[in-house]
Amino acid sequence: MVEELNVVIVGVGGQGQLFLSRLIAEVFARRGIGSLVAETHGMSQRGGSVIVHVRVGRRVKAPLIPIGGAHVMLGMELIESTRYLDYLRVGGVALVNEKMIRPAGQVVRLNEGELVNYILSRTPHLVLLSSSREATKLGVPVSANVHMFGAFAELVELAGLLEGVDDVVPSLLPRRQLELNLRLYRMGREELRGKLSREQVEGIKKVLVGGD
Amino acid sequence: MSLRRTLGLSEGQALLLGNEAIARGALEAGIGVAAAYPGTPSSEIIGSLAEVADEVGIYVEWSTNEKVAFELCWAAALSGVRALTAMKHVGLNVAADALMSSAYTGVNEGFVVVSADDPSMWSSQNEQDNRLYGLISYVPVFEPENPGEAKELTKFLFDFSSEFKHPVILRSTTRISHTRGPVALGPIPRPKVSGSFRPEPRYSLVPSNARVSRVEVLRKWREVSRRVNSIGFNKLYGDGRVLVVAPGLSHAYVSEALARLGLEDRVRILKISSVYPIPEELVLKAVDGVDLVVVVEELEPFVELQVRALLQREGVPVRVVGRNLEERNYELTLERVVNLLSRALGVEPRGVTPTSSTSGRPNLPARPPVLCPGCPYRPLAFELRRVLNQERIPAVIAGDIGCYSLIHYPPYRLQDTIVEMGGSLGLANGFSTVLRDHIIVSTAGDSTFFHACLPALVNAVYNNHPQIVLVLDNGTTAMTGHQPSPTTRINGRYVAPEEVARGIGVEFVAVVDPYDIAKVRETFLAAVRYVRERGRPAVIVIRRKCALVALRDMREAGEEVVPYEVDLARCIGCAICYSWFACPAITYREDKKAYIDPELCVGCGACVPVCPVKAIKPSKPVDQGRLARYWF
Repeated sequence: MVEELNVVIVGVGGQGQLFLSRLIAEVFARRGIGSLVAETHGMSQRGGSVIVHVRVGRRVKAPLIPIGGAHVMLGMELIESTRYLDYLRVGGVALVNEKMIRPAGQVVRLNEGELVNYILSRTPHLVLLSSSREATKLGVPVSANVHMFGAFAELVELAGLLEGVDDVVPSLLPRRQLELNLRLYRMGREELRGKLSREQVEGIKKVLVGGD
Repeated sequence: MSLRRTLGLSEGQALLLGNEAIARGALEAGIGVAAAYPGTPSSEIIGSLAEVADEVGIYVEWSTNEKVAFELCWAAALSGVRALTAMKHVGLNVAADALMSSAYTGVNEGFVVVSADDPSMWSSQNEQDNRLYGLISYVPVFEPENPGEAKELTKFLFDFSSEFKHPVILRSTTRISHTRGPVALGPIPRPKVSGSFRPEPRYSLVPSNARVSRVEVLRKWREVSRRVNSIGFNKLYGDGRVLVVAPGLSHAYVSEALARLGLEDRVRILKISSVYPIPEELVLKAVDGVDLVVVVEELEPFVELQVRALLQREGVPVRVVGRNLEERNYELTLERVVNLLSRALGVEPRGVTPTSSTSGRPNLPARPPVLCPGCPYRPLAFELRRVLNQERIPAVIAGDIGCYSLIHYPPYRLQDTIVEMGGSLGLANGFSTVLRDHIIVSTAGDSTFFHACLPALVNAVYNNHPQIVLVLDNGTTAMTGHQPSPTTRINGRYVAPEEVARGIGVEFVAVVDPYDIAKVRETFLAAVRYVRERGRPAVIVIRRKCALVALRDMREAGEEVVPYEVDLARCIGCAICYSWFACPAITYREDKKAYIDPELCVGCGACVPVCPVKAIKPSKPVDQGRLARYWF
């Protein structure tokens, strides 16, 4: 039974954060575990900064994750991952798509490296993912979220919070381009597995199931 | 899971958005009619009902504004058909006249008015607390705690409304409407969709009838006030010397906050769903033997004031604390509730991070929402800003509410006011009266134009107000998710803004494709001359479909999107395309030359005429003339 698992999904409006959040809530629901997903609609969806709160587990009643309360951040973009990093608890797990989208109409002097360094200064459990790159390579750039979902599925299975995600995923993905999406899902899983040392896995388990 | 996918189910659980849960509750209550004007965070209620209307056999429509939608549903309920209307908080202002009278006429079958408020103003111009509408209208107000309860409460309220033959308000907020959570499903009965009407004096509120109704409303109110003490949605539990009163969503925060503070066994909790009127007998029972009452609620101290008045009236000497005046703004969070409770109870705040730390964080650029790649408003905004600057036209631009509100932001800075739906033409009438040496421009989307701008346009014509009205006609209600507007062609249904303007008596009426920026400039300057010389209003309809709609249709038709690219040999790095046209797909290289991101470019070609050296071209030949059918 999951007591409380808080996941913030952040990025730029249009990257598919809502679909990603629904996938997460549904895989837990299929195992009888309830969740609340506070979505972002309306104005902010138009290319603005987006945060979605996913709260899974028996103890959860309120829709919003408090600052410092997220066990996991799924960052679909680097600037937004940095902006919302204070939602992540100390030592929490940040799975971040290594893509930076500059806001339109502004000259922005920032590089990926300094953002990554800042995230690393707050948590050792940062994994950079190539979700956008892989999705673009396969010709479905909007499916970067499915790649990230694969990484998330691997994470929660490693931590022992869920099992058998593979079995339910085909029924949750859109029928159009199902094969490509399944491939991205598996690639996401593999990429995360390949990037975590045994030590990191142990550390991450403590964060995700260590209570409180 | 979507509402549609739950249709075949009459038991079990589904993960639904709060708005879908409300829609499901209405179906389980047997509604026959639903109507609304879209508005965040309410839109998915009618949106999801519209998707299943044919299958279930009910009537659902997107109406031209909230008042029109309200009245349609009201008439259904007067005729014995259960009806639901839903609107964002400020939408109820538009329908307020109808709301007030609906309490006087009453109804014959359940009539539920959903008000979806927006604490923190995620997509709104203000943070009004619509529970207060109950106070002025004598319409009872109920609030759910989560999506699951929203469904149950909606279903219950139809019976409640039928029982008292009185309308009710279901008040939701962004965090109910746009939160997805588990919802228990029940059976959907066969809906009753046609009614019967027998005239009664209370339906015609001439003073002699209204006076009778007024007395009747007060009598009903006495009964309603008694009844809410026994509804299961209000709950008293736990025990201690402190009572925490938690209406609606705040109960969710209170339960978690008390657990984090380790106080859940030391307080009594009164969860309230009937926020107006409050269950007075239950409150009196709850305060028996407590030393302190803490009211935790979002926005205004609405329940708190009722509790205070009740205790004062009954002579109960117990201290009541709520939030300070300065704490009323924005939505509740766990941190805020933990802090409020720990302050009231005199314990250390625990279980949340005291402050957020961002020390050492690189400076991040703000990321306001932007017009999408391909948006027809972008070339319009670009050219309008350019012509105003180059011709030194002293303009005041009264804006309105929709995607085009975004041209308020740099680099366009084209909306000097954005106040409420229809406020563009209305304020422009006033500006043109007192700012004689200015050119007054008003902007309204097609949906907004029909929603509340028409009376102001008639006024401008009749009273001679020289304003240039830009009707931004993208053929849909785009910002709220592409609900149809009267300009959306469905089965031959269509209302043309330019014909309406001509019919009203506007002499200067033009229709322009915003991608043709030379034509935009020429037409705008002609309108400037016209309003200056004639002192009368001019209307320019800016017509091209919302890019998201056009691109969806192109994708469905199997059309290829050909991204554009920059000829680096020609590009001089002038920055006009990425700094002033500001399409999200156009960014810049180290050498300041432009770069078009093929992932983001939608191949619209709107940037081509913007480039002074003709450096932008399609990455392979494309026939924009042939693709025009998707854009108009």
